[in-house]
Amino acid sequence: MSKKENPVIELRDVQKCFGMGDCVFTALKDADLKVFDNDFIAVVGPSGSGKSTLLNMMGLLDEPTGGEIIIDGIKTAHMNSDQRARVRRERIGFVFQTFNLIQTLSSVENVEVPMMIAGLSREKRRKKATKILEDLGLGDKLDNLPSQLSGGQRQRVAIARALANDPEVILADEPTGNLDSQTGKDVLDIFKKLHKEEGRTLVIITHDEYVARVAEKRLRIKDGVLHDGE
Amino acid sequence: MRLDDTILYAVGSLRKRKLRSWLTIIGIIIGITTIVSIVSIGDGLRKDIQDQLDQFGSNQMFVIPVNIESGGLASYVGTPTGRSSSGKLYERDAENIEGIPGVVSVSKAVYGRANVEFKGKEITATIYGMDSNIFDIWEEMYYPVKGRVYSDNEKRVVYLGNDAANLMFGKNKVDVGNKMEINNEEYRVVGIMKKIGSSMSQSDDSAIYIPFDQGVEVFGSELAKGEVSMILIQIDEGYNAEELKESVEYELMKSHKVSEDDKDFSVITAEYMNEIIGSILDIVSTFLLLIAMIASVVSAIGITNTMFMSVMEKVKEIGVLKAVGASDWDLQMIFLIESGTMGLIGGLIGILLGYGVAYVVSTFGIVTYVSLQLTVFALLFAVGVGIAAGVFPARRAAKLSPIEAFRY
Repeated sequence: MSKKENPVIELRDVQKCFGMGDCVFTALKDADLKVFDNDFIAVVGPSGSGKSTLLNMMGLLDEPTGGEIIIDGIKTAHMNSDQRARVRRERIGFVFQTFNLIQTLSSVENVEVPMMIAGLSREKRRKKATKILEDLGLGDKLDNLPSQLSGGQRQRVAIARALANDPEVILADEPTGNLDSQTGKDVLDIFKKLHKEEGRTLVIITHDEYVARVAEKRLRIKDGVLHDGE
Repeated sequence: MRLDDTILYAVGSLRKRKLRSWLTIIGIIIGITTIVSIVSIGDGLRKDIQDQLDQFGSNQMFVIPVNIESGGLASYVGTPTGRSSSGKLYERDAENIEGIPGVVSVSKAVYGRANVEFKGKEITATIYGMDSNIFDIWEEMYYPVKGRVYSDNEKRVVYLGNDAANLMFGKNKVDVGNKMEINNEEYRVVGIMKKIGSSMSQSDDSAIYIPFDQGVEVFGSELAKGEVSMILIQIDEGYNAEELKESVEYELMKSHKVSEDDKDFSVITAEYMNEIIGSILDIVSTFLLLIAMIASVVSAIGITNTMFMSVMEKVKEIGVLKAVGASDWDLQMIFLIESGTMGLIGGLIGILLGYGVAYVVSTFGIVTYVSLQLTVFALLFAVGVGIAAGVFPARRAAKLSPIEAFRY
């Protein structure tokens, strides 16, 4: 119970509008959400429901038009761009549907990027990146460019990158969306393992009920409104 | 992000996009080569003229039988014989000038064109009949590369301009001791001049020089009795050329019986020549500066364009770097180093190519000059425009949220 009192990520009445000045389209309405340490949450919703917007808010990738986002007890509303970048660098790992790897960098270099930005020495980050990739079964693909990897392999490199700076939470946006069902299942197995064996905190955004069933807790989102429930 | 990592990342990213990097660098090279070669031609022209002005020392002046201020210069330059309709100078003018205090020596010259024959080949050449002390006054310019200069009392001797000796008679080169005919009289070659080689002295290089008295003999039929084409005056160290100019003008006005307003001659000092040619040079310089500015603007646009394209290709990468925690500063440093490196490489190669173009142009007889200032300017320009063109779009891209950047 004591642990549960301090959420890793907390959203209070978060709202996101699109449009110049006026609120032409509300992608997210008064979202309240708490992600605690060791949670494994799936947010399920059809396309256009605002679920990616929700993830972008949680990960400080985009700014809300209302409400408050609190990361580890720290309010983020008045943070500037660099301060938000620092929070992302130190506390959050991202996995995207389209992988978003840097095309000119090899697997191991892609995984090193967050550590390089954090200022880790070359030897340390190479060692750590190699270890993470080996754990994810990519020990023989260290020097391959993303274009030389399959979709499943690319997503594993992306997961490795998300783990690089030991974040408190990993946010995954449709991580299986661009994968066939078997490789999608493999990727989900990795998430399950990360949660069970390493106690990682995970939030997965998906439209897929099958994917959502892997998580321990499910939230639903429709027309920008977040609901609890199965 | 640590500085060494930033540099490695930036340089690494240039190496990994070899084609794109080189295309951008080529854009810079073209711009810089254009600036360097164009400005080098302008500077060369300027320097060439300036060098020749400098050869004309402040302790010399000359008199020509035309009033430059009344617009006679064009008619004077326009006549190949140097004979003007407006006025005449005479040997007695030279003698009068010699008597003015402060005048060290006076040299007379007559010139025109005459038939010259050497080993069966006949041409028409410019011939100067000059007092030999001119060779002492302008020793550096009229130095013999072979043989010697003539002395005033020698008969039937010639001193040849370098081109006159080596180029004008086809495959036959003239050597010291050879004989040639001027207006069917035989002359002996006593010396050959070193090549002056500047654009304004082409006519001096291809001229034939003979003693003054011989010149009078050659051109006697065209000249009035005792007429000379030009008088050159050497001034004593302690005297001021401008003050002496007034004495000379006074002397000549008196003997020509003319007033200040209808002078039929001009006394030209170094200062006066600088004034006349300087005003022409200023026009030339302004024009060349304009061309250089246009070249700079065109190349700046070219550099900006290629740089902008290469940054736009990387907006998504910028988004990824931001998502995983790169600060705006990190991103700006990466692009600063990337575009600065491309600017530096492009600038250096562009300058080398510019030197090359300037050299090739100079082999066609156009004097070019790549100054240190031009080199430094071109390098700073390449790096500066490169950085500006690379960093400004990158800054804009870095201001996007990662999500917006992903959409590119």
